[in-house]
Amino acid sequence: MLAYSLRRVFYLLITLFFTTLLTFLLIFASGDPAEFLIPVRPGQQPSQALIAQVRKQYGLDQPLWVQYARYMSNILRGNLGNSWYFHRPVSQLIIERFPNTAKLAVAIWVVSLIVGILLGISMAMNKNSLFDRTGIVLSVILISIPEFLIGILLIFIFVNTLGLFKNVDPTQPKTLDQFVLPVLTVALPRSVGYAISLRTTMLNAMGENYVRTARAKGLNFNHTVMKHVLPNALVPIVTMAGIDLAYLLTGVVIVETVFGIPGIGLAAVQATTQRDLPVVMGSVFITAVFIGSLNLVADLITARLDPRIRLEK
Amino acid sequence: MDGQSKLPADDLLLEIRGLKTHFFTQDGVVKAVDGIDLRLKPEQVLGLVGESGCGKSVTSLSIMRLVGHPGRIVEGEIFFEGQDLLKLSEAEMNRIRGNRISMIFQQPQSCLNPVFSGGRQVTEVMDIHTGQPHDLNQKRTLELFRLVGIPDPEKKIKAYPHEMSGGQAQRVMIAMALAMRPKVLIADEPTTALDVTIQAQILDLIRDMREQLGTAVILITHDLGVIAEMADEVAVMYAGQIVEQADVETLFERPLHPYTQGLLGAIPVMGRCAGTLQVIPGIVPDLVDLPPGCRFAPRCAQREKYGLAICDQKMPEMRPVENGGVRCWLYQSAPGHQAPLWPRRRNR
Repeated sequence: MLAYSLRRVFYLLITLFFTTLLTFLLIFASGDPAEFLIPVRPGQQPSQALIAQVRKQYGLDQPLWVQYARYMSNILRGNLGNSWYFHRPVSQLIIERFPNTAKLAVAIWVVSLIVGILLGISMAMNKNSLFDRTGIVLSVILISIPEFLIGILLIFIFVNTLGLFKNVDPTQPKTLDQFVLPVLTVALPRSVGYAISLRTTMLNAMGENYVRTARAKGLNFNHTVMKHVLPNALVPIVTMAGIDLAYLLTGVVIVETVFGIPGIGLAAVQATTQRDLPVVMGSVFITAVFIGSLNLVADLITARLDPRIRLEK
Repeated sequence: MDGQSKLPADDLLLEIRGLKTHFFTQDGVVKAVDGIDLRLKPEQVLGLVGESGCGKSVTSLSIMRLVGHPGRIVEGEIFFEGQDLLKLSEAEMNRIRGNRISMIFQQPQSCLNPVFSGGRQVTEVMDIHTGQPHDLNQKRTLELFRLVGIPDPEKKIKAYPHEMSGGQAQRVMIAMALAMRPKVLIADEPTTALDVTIQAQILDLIRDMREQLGTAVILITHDLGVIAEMADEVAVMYAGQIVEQADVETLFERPLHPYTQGLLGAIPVMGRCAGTLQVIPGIVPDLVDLPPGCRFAPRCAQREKYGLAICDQKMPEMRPVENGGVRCWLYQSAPGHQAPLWPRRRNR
C-alpha cells in the first residue's frame, strides 16, 4: 500500500510539471504578450520602442528557459504572477473568490453523491420495477438538458412561479437558501448520473459468482447487496466522485454565470475573454493541482476498497 | 399431505420428488429440470452425472432455492429433515443455507468476493449462523484453515482471492461450506476448473471431511472417473431427467440405459488401444422443444438395433430394477410394445 501511494504521488508530480510547462507556453499561444500589455486605442499601433520597453519590464526578452525557471520558482513560492487587468496578484484574486466556489462545489458534491448512491442502490435492488424504469427515463432527461437550461428552469419554477428565494443576492452568498437553486442545478443531473452508473455496476456485480456464494452462505438478499455487491460496485463511483469534486472546486462555470456567483469559474472565463493570461494560467494550474490531488485521494480510497488495485503496475 | 405414504422415509436425509425447474425465456420455457426424484441417505455420496446443460447445476441450485430469474421451481417437493424446503419462507431458508446445507462450486476463485480476505469470508458464515462473538469465529476460522490443509494458515487467512491458487481457493470454499458442520454438502463440479493433481487433493479432502464430519455429499460432475472414485450411489441425468440410478458398482458393471452405456464407452481406458474413442452421436436436445418420447431416442443406437417405434412417441417411466432404476423402453413393456430385454418382467 505504501509503495503504491508513493508511486501515485510521484505520478502526480510529473503531471504537475507538464501542466506548468504547458500553461507557461500558453502565454505565447496567441501572439506577442507584450502587445496585449500596452493599452492602445482601436486602430492604433504601439511604437516598437514601447514594445521593447514592456518586454524588458516583464522579462519577456529573456530566453524561454530562463522565463520558465523564473515562473516555476515563483509558483513554488506561491506567487502566480500579477493580473494584467486588475494589476493585483493572481493568488489573491483566486483566494478571494475561492470560498464561494468551495461552498457551492462541496454542497453540490455531497448532495449529488448521497442522492445518487441511494437512488442507484434502490434502482438496482428493484431492477425493472416501475420505480427503476421511471428513474432511468428521468435520468436520461436530466442528463440531456444543458445545465444552464436547468438553472433557468429552476429559477422560473421556484422564483417566478412559486415566489421562493426572491430576496436572494447571489453576489454575496451567505445563507443556505441562496445556495438551494445553484446547488440543485448542478446536483440534479450529477446525482442521476451517479445513480445510473452505480445501478449498472451493481447489476453487473450481482451476476458474479461470489454473490451466489454469499447467498449460499445464508445471507439474505439485502445484506448480500450491502456487504458483497456494494463494495465492489462503488469502486468506479469513487474514482468518478474524486475527479468530479476537483472539477467542481475549480469552478462551476455555468451556474456561477447563470446565478452571477463570483467564484473561480466565473473569474477564469472573464480572464479568458479579457486575455488576462496570468489569471488564466493561474486558474489552469490550480485546476491541475486540485484534479491531480483529488484523483490521488480517490485512487488511494479505491485501493483500500479493492486489494487488486494495489498490485497494479 | 395426501397421506402417510407421501411422508419422507425416515432413513432419508434429503428426498427430492418430482422437481421441475423451468426457465421462462423469450424463446420459450426451458425445462432445465423436468421431474426428477432423488434420495440421499445420511453420510452418503450421491453422484449426479451428465453432459453440460443436462440440468445438474440447476438441480443443485433448486435444492438451495437459489435459481435466479428467469428460472423458477414450478413443481415438486424437496424434503430435508422432515420439512419441505420449497414451503419454507426466505428467512427460514436462510437459516438452512450455509448452515444445514452448504454448497461449493466450479471456479472457486470467482466464487470468493475479491474485496475481502478469504478468512473474513469464512468467518462471515459463522457470524451469520452462530451468534457467537466475532473473535471466537475468527479463531475457529484459523482451525478450519488448518483442517482443510491450507499451508501457513496464520498468513493465508489474510490472503485475498487473487493471491490464492485455484486449489487454495477451493479449500477456502470448503472451509466456508463446512464451518457449520452441515448435514449436506452440494459440490457442483468442484474440481472441473482445477489441475489434475489438485483435483485429486480436493477430492481427498472432500472424502476426509465427509468421514470426519459425517456430511452427506451430492457430487455433481460430468467426470465418471470422479464418480467411480467418490460416489456410493449414482444418478445419470439427461435433458432434465434422471435416466438411470444405481449404486456405483452396479452402474459401472452393468449400465442399463443406452446413454449410460454411451457415457462409459466414451471414457478412454489406459493400455487399451481401440483406435478411435467411442462417442455418442448427435447433441443434447433443445430443452424448449423436447421430443414427445424418450429424450435420448434421437441419439440412441439401441433403438435402431431393436427397431423400437415407441421410443419416439411415449416417454418411458422410471422403472425400479435391482439396486436402482432405469428409464428406458428396452426394459419395460406397454400396450403394443414388448420390452426386448427382460421380457419376463413385462407384467411386473
